[in-house]
Amino acid sequence: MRVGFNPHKDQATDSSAFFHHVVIPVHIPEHDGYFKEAGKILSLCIESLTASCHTGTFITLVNNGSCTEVVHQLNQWLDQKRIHEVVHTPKIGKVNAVLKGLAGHQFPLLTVSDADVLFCSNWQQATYEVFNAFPRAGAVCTTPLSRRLRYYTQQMYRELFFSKTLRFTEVKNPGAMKAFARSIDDEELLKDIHLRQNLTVVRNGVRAVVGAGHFCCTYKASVYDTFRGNAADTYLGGKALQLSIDEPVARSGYWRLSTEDNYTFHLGNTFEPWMEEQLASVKKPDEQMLPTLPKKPYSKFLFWVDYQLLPKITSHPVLWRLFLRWKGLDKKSARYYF
Amino acid sequence: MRTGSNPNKIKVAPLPYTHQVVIPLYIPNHEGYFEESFTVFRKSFESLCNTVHPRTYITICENGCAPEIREELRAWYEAGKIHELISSGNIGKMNAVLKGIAGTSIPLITIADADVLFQPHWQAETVKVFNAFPKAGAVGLVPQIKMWEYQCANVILDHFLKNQLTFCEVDENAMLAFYDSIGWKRDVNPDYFRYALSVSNGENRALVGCGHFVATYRREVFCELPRYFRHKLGGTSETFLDEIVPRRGYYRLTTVQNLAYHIGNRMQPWVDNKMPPAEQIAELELLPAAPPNPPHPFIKKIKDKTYKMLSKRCYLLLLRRWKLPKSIASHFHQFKR
Repeated sequence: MRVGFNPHKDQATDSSAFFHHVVIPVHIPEHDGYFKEAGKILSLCIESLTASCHTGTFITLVNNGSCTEVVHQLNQWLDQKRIHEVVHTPKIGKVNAVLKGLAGHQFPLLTVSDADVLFCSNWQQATYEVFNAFPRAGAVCTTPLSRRLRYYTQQMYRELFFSKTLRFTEVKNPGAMKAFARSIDDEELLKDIHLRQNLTVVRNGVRAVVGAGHFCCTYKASVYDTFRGNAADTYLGGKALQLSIDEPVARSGYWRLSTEDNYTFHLGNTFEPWMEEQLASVKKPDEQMLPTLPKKPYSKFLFWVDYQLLPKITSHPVLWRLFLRWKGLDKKSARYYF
Repeated sequence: MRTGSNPNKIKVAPLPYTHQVVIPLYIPNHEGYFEESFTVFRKSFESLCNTVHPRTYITICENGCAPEIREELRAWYEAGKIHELISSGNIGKMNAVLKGIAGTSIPLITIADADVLFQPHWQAETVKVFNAFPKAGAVGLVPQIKMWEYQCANVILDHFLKNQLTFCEVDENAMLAFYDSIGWKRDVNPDYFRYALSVSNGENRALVGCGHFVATYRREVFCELPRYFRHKLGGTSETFLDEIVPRRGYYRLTTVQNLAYHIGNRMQPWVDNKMPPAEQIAELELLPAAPPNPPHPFIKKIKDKTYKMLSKRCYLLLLRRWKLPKSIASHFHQFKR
């Protein structure tokens, strides 16, 4: 029988202390083979995250189908209050794990990161600067990659076609870009021109690189205010991630941008000594203010124009090359830029 | 640096489960209101384990529990008694439920409070109702008073002309037990405990309406979810589970039998008597649902208004049409006894 009233009936949830949600899916089924050093990499990831984030950051780890040691490790971190939420599930796939993490919270900013990312000092500050400067920014990645300029970015090209602010400029941190290519074991990915020139947009004195990857990306969380309950095909990468995580950003009419400098390193699955050195240099930031995150109008029709119609035009190699040259790339490089 | 490629890069096999049970749990301490809560939950969990088939996936969403409770839940997870454990801060009941529902694709989801005592065969009976009524979106286990008057306009209007709605007698004691367990006084019309509106398809029968303290939902109902609710308990969050079902074009029904008891936050003497024995449970196959056919909000509004007007203007006529005995129907509108 029920005696008395539940003291929490009809109270609004208070989340005043936190405003930035970080969700990290973890899948380490064994400490062998591909996952031999994954545990160590995960520790580096969490150490660097907790060292570099401000006090308003709420960290969720979603274990999907990891081994017992990892389960214990996550529980221990939760008990030490280094992270704020842990979800243990069987193997449901990365996207489903992310959905589990983001559900039930009303934080205005959401970072979805892989478990093999090293965060550097001030990554949040740099992200907020981009959000503050670009009211249209919806996804901000902290590792710029010059080749990612065609993934859900056509809306920007329509809006900024005649604008002088959208230009090819010099890459700020080519070393980090190279490190990323190395981390995914694909050094052919970047040619010389990619390390010299990238497409950027500038506003209010802040420069951002066009395009954002999704291995560690911060979103305006309002784009997920209604989300598909489950990703039917649970792929690790590819389609499910694209439909559940990336497309909502485009549907809301937001841009995908990256910070100009590099603030996160992708580690891959093998430990290397430089990672620890990098971790040692991470500093705790000052208190941060929530950036302004205005809602912008966007219609289904415009979505159709930008992401159904425009790609048909920009995918034509000649027109695409013309566009690249229009934005300041030389003739020779435009041929093989991407 | 990455060497080799992730063995799961291509595809993850879907989970081999057919029924998910989501239990939000909030026991921050062992004092006052929560003094006996965990004892109650242990009993509830025992009854659940005793009555489910092996392909049941149990999720516990613990949103701010005392450390010793957290430890025990972790032990359950590692022992494989539960399949998913969510440890969060105090985010509120419905937010915890959202976390449980999101990201899985198991066809049936039972959302239960932490103080439900399950009775044998509740799963099979629930599946029977779903199979008999392909448009059922939610099936409850506990008949409650006057359930058909809330968010049931679609069931009632769809079956109105076909003469498939009748009042039937229900288990009065179970109904009273639930009523007592929520701490209300027994001052309402006693006939409410004896008769409930039911719908039949010729062979099977189910009660119209559904409570939300323990009910099973079709996955189709949750194809799209809100990210969060603003209230911890009550507020807009509580009606979500009720409203979403007709909004997606599905019915809310309840089994005619009472298949679960509500314990409340204090241990009750009858709990051990009613504890179901542990046994092997066979699984009943679930037939596919009717395709989702969410009504246009305007049509839904008209239906709701029509039903409201009907029940206001011609209440007695309705009751007579639904075969409620005349002597009872004449004073059925009186809420208090």
